[in-house]
This record gives sequence, structure tokens and C-alpha cells, in this order.
Amino acid sequence: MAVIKAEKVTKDYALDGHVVHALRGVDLEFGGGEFAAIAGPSGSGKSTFLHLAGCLDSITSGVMMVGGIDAGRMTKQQLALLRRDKIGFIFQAYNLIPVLSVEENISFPLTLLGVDKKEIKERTAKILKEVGLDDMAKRRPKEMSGGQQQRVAIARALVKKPAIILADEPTANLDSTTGREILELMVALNKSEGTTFIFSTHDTMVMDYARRLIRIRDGQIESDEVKS
Amino acid sequence: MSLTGIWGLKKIAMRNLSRHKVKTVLTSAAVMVSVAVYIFLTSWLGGMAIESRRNIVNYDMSAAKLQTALYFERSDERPSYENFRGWERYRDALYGEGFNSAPRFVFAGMLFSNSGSAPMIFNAVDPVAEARVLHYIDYVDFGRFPESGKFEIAVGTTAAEKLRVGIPTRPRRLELEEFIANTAQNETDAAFIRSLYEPGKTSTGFLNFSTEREFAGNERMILTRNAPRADLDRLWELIAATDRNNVRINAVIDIKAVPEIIRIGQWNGELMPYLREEDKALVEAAYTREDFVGGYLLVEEDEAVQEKILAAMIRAGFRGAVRHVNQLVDAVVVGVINSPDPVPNGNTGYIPMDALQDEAGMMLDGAITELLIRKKGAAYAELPGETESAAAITAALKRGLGEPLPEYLGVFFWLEYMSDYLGYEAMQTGAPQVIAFLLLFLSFLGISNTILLAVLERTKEIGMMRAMGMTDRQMIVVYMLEAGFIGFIGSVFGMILGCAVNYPMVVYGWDLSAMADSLGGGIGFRVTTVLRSVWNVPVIFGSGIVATLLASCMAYFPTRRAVKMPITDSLRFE
Repeated sequence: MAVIKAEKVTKDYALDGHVVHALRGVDLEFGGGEFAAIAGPSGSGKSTFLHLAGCLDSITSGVMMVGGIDAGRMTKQQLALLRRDKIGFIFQAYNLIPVLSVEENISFPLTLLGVDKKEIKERTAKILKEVGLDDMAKRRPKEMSGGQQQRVAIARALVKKPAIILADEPTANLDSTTGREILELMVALNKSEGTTFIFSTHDTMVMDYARRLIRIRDGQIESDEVKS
Repeated sequence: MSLTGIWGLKKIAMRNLSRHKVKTVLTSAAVMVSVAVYIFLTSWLGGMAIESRRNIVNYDMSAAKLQTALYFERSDERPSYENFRGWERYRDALYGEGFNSAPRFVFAGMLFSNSGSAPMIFNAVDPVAEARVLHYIDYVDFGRFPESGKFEIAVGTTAAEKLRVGIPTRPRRLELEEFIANTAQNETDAAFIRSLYEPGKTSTGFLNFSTEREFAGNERMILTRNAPRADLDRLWELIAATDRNNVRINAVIDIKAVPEIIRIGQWNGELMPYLREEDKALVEAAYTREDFVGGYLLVEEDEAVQEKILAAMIRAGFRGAVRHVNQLVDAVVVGVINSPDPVPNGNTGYIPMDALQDEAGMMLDGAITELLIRKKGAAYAELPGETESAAAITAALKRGLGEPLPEYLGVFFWLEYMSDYLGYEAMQTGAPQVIAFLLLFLSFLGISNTILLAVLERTKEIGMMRAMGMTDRQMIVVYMLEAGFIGFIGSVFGMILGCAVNYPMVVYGWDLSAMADSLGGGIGFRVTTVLRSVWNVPVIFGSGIVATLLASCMAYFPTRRAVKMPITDSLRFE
């Protein structure tokens, strides 16, 4: 079953009295365990698609199925629970909670899920080890480098074992070496956990790592290439 | 999410407090001050109210009064014509049922001294009975309380100062010298009197509102506060040897009495049609018609029969059964009252009732306007409750008398009598509480502002949290917890500060006598001496809890506004 299936999805915005057609009838489908990148220039609609796939925004027309559920028919509360249970996010600016330590940031999604304290501790410790930050558990985000913060963000997205991880320009704020390390980490996790990764990017390195590359321009799919 | 889950979010809320420590501390401090002020003011005003009520009961009202119902209705006018006789049987009945009582005839008039005059409320009292019911007699500052059978009067400090009787307490230097010249019989006396006074402090600060010009001889002299009682008694004796304390009472009162003559028109129009059938023969037999005076003349001389006739006329509502008494009565001021209650200290005089019964006095002829009632052995601090209610006393009277009270008489509980004061008290205590509440409200606006800024500053973070699946409700709870913690910290310290400030006010109190003196004997409340606050545990804890909850609620609207923003807009917010 497809974890994400978009059928003739359109998204229009009102901007300064004009209607902006961000997506124009997009058809896309992502299966389990994919490692895909959506590439395109600024304003092409790649981030908009990611937001719609992550149930952060509502579609104008069409159908967006997430985990087999029609997101367009869900209430605000149901969408929040869907995001909590099925989707992990990695942001360009990491968006860690500055007042919490590394382990507390990572365990935050588990707190939302109501996981008991013992399990939270175990799962947090395991993922910290996987992302190579087990010696930095007590640090605050501001005491870490950009690459380390993005590792924390990845750990936070993965700790709840979501079906999909949506990463919006995850390497944009990182130097190429760190970006490569981060991508290597995500590839490894994709393989070990079987989690679907979907990136929006214009970083060629990300495109190189992706096993499926979707190019988007002016709100329409330009190409959809699965690498051998 | 369960309550446990929500509580799991408290870590974020608590950590958020540390983001801007100065802002958190200042906002908590505002709550702390507000809570402390509220606790202090409430305790203070509560102390004022309780002390005032005790003073009313102990120095002015007692627990209840037996009066005519019409007197109670018109009590502001002090209608002396609404008096009654035969009160001794009510006193005896009450005594047998466990109550003390004290008769009074209250009337208004003027009191003249050698130096001036003052409008007064005179209380004709039985000194012995009065001392069993009220406590002001223990507060005769100078001299003593009048003795039964003598034309003596005790007046309040305000009246004494105005009439310049008794010991002057705050004379100008020239007035003191004049007083010494009139009082001292030799130089030793003069030196003794001077030794009792010291110059008053002259205020030069911006709070000096006095319009009196200071010049030589106009300086204020103050009677030494800790002057020995023996010295004051000696000074009083020196005064008593002069005519300084001689006064004259001028009053007009109306006493219910069988009229000597009833005009024919009154007889036919106002009396006969309203008399009961069984009373008509009694009245007709007591009067004889004399056409040369145009009316009916009283011929019955038996006082017992006259009492029955008067009772019949009162039952008939006959307004002519009144005797006007306009008397001048000479008396001597033998004491000055300075009690914790401003009423006895004001323009009030106390005279032995038995001296005023006949033509030499006010011709009271056994009538009284009220019988003050208090439970035997009632503790000073005890406010009258159910056992001293009007209903309980009425029932006790019925048992003691073996019959109900006459219709025209009623027992009135002190609270009924003081309804005007209690309304005033509510206003007096309400206004500062409103101010304290406004202060509290302002601090809550501060919390709201803090949360509003926090929400604005953390818009992107809020977007991220919502993207991760945090519901709007959870987001609101996090910020309400954060505001609640600010309120809680402020409340705890506010409760501690409020109690700390309150402690000396409860234990030592605040001596208001100087302020009360300068304001003419009262400060609005019925308290003139040391004011003590009271511990009000429900208010202390209640204000802390309410402040915490209100603080928490203040986060609701800013957060609700934040979660209405689309998540994508929040994530893009810079």
C-alpha cells in the first residue's frame, strides 16, 4: 500500500489579492521504504507538496491519501493525531526546543504519544547511539554545531518510528561535509528502519543520494525518475 | 491525551520560565505584591470590621434592644415620645432567663458650659445596670462615672474639648495659662499643672495641612501621654473646686402620659371612636366635661388607674397622650469618656436616670425609650449570635413574663439597628478590596502580556510542535501551565510576604488614637484606639489559589490566537 498517494492535487494561495497556483493537478505515489527527493527551483511547489503530504496544510482540490487515510476529510484534531502517529518532520532550521536538552528534545514526540517513562528512556538512548550523539544527551541545542543539531532533529523524527519522514531542505544550512554525513545517516536509517524518506531540495548532493528523483516546476511534475 | 500526558508537558512549561528570567521574576513579583497587598488589606479591613462590630456591641448597642416598634422605625429622629413604662417586669423576666438588661431614656438637647455649648445626645442610664451590659464605663479617662441620684454627667472627649470641661488635653499655650490661672490655687499647683504638659510637635512637612498660624503663645501643648493616674486625679480635684465643670442641660422631650385636659374635638374625633369598648367606661369615668375650658378634665388621681387609662389610649393610637417637657437641668461633669468606640467619645452625655425622674430633672416619671439586653457572662470578644437573637430574646421574654410582649413593643437585634453602618462598612471594606483586586488584575495583564510576547517570539517553535502532532488543546495547556507557574511562584511568595507584613499588625496592631483625635474622634470605622488585623486563612490560601488559576487563565487567549495561525505560516514566521 502507498504511504502517500496524491491524485490531481491542486493548491491555490491568495497573495496580495492574486491567486497563486502552487500545485496544478499533481499525481504522485510513495511506497514504503522509499528514499525520494523532490527537486525544483524556488517557488516550484516542492515545499508546498511536502506540507500537504505532511498534513500541515489543506489541499484546494484532488485527493491526498496519507497512510491510506483521506487527509482532506479529516478534522484539525484528527490531522494533529495523524501527524503525531505517522509522520516525522526534519526542518531546514532544525527547529529544536532551545530550553530542552538533546535527550528531552528527542523524547518530546514520545511524550506526545503518551509512552511510559521507561520506554522513552530506552528508545531515546538507542536512537542517540544510532545518530552518534550518545555522549551529548544532556547538552542544550545552542551548545552544538549545525550538523549535530540536525542529527538531533533526525533522531527526534525517527524516535517514534513513523511511517514517513518529510525533510524540508535538510542540508541547506550545513556545509557539504556535514551534509554528506547527515545524508549517510539518513540512508542508513532508511535501510535499517524501513522508513520512507521524502526530501524537498535543490541540493545536488541530496539528489545524488535519492533513489527516486522527482522534478517539479511551476506546480507540475516535470519528471519522475527511479534510479537503478 | 490523558491528564498524565498533559502533566508530562509541564517540563516544557517550566523550562520556558527560564528563557527570560528577568521577565519571569518581574511578572512573578507583580503577582507577589498584588497577592500580599490583597492579603494585608483583607486582613486589615477584616480586623477593622470585627473590632468595629465588637465596639458597637460592647460600647453602644449591646446585643439587642427592647423598644417600641415605632421608635425602631424612626430611630434616626430619636422620638422620645415613643417611650414606655413598666420596664421593670421585662428586666426581671430577662434576668430570670439568663439576660442582663439596662434601661435608658435617650433624648437630644444642648449642653452649655461656661465656655461654650454643644448639641448632645443624652443617655439617662442606671449606672449599675449599664456596667453589666456595656463596657464604656471602664474607659472614663479622667474623673469617674456619675453616681446614682446625683446631677452628674459624664461626657465624651469630643464634647469635653468643645465645651472646655475636664482636663484640657491639647490646649494652646495661652489657653493653658488661662486654665492654670483659673484652676491653680497657688504656685505649687501652677507648677504641678505645667509639669503635666509638653510642647506638641510642629509639623513642617508637606503633609501639614494646618491653616492655623503659629505665633507666640499659640503653640500647641499636649497633656503628657504617660502622666500618672494619681497626678490626673489630683488635677481633676483642682478642677472640681472651680466652676469649669458646671454645665446646664437644655432639652425638650415628650413623655407618654395621661393628658390633664382633652379638647372636645379630640375627645370625639380622635379618642372615643378608637377606644376598645371595655376601655371606654374607664376613660369616661376618669374625665369630666367642663364646657368653660372647652374639654374634658382629668379627675382620676389614682396612679394605677392612670396607667391603665394611658395603656388604653396608646392602644387606641391617641396622639394626645403626650406630655411636653422643656427643662433646664444643672449638672456637674464628673468624668470624660475615651473608649475604643467613637460614639461614647463624641457629643454624648451619660446622666443617672433616677436623678431625672421628677420636676427637678426631665420628669421622666419611670419612662424609658429602650432596654439594652445582653446575655449574662457574655465574653468581650463574643459577637451576639443565635442565643441573643431577637427571636431568642422574645421567646425568653415570653417564658419569663408568662405572656407575649405587648404589640407595641419589639426586640431588635443589633444588626437590624446597625444596618446603615453595616452598609457603610461594606462600602468601606469594599473600596480598598476593589483597588487591591485591580492591582491583582494589572499583574494578570502583565502575565497576559508576557505570554503574548512569548507566543509571538516562539511562533516558529509552536508551528514545529504542532507539526509534530501536538494538538491545539495541548499547546494551550502548555502555555496555561507556564502562566500558572508564574502565578504560583508569585502567589507563594505573595502569601509569605502578606503574612509577614500582617504578623505585626495582628500581634501589635496600629495605634490609631492620634489619627482618630485629629479627625474628630473617628476614622469611618467604629475604632478609635489600637487596630489589629485578623488572620483570614481562607483568604490567604484562597487568594494564592485564585491568583494561580487566574494567571493560568490569562494565557488562554494569546495561545488560542497563536494556534489559529496556519502551521505553514507559523513555520515560515521570522
